[in-house]
Amino acid sequence: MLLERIQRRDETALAEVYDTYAPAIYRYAYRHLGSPDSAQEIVADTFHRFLIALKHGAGPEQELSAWLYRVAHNLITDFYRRESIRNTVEIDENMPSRAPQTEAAALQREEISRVRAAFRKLPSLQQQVINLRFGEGLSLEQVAQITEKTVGAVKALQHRAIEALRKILDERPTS
Amino acid sequence: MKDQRPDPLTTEEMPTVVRQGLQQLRETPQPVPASWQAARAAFLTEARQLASESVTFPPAVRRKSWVGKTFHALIPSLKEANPMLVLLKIALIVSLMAGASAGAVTAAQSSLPGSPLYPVKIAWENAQARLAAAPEARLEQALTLAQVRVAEMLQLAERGQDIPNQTVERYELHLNVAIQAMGELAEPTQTHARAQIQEQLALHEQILEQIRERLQEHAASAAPGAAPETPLREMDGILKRSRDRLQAPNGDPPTTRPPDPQRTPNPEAPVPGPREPDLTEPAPGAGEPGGGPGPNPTAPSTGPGPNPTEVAPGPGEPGAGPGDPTPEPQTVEPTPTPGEPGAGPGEPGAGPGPNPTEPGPAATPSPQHP
Repeated sequence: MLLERIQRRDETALAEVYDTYAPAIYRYAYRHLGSPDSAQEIVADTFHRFLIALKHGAGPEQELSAWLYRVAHNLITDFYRRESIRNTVEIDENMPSRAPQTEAAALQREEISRVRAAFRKLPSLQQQVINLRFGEGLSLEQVAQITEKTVGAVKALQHRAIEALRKILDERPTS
Repeated sequence: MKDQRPDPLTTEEMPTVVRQGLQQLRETPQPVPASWQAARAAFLTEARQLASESVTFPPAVRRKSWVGKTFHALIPSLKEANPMLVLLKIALIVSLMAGASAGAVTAAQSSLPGSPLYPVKIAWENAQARLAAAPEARLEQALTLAQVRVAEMLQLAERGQDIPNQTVERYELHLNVAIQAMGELAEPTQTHARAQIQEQLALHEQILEQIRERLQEHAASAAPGAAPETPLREMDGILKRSRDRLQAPNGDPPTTRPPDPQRTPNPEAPVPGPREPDLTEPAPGAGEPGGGPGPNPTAPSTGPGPNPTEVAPGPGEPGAGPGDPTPEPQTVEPTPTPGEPGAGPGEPGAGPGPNPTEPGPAATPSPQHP
């Protein structure tokens, strides 16, 4: 069992954990923050917390990925509050990329920004559910485990989030 | 956790505009490989350090109160403890209880040189260094910190920012500490440590190349031909000198230093000897704390500073703050406490939840952060 090896502080197991879960945490954080640098910071912080927790005999006892997603989400929430990330992210996304910009690429960037802005308007828990369900493709049961809600509650959150997104995205963008 | 179930994005009913939007949101760019590799290496170094430590207390202890846990973790055995170390640890507890800003320390861990929180990060590192007494611990810690410095340089380069001299100096200091600690080890541990340092140096050299490329890209777009090479030349010299020292038995510095025209362009100038790890001076940058007692493991420092390697998780303890899912009052708790608002359909969370230890903005309490 990976968890048992982790509790024994098996170095190979810890490397395995990183290689298995760090990419998913990165994707999860990126969808929230829209910045590769910030997403990598979240990954580094999440795994730092993981080691600290192990050091103190704490850490995940059942579902490792659920634990990591929860830590990452809490760090993202702190990140928003601490650094007014909404402004930072907008700057990041509006920065010209190194690649030459075609009109189509520019339109796509604009569209992604609009979608992410809509996503960020959702309540934190709805964001979490949408990200895990449709970003990571997790099942309702898995999302329920991560968010520590019932499956019914997750369904309700998902329904409300989709409805809220529809309303926001249907609105004509103001120029 | 992802399995072979059908993709909810295609199977769930939702308006097309939402489906298309979520499809776009799903796509994420790959991180920069060098940066990813550096982060992974930093994690593995920290994991190796953790693996080399013995488990000091059984799971039953985890059910004690946070005060008990803190003292147990800080002073596992008074009989065996170094009295100065015990005094220092007690000073750390007092300083933490007196309101040392745990949140700031946590937040500072990802800060970069030039950031307002960076001095906190350096002070934290210095406090950790003071508590690492055994050569093995000093070696691991110094290598971790060297890796952190290189990762910082890469991040700065990716942002097109200059690398401060202080960061380079710190990097050299960490390597010197590591090599000196290696020299204090007995065989065969020393041989293993030597290989470990050489492995790190090789990795750092690779990352240095990435840094060089990034800086050149940014310099070319800003002012062609004006790449800031000085810190990189300095880094080349440090890597070379460190390798030379590793060739010597016990990591002793060579008696005569090979000429390094890039580092000392003036042949008339006195060539300073290889920098000995001055453990009392962590080479703080301008405006950075850490000018106090350096990472001298034997110094009976009174400098307060939280010890992330020893302090058990408790309220306000930075190391186990955000994300530690133990049901204790901490900065961020993955495990919701009873009475959590908004469980289920009635979730009221709008935006980030307030951190119980930090005065957050006027946001609706998140159900994740009761």
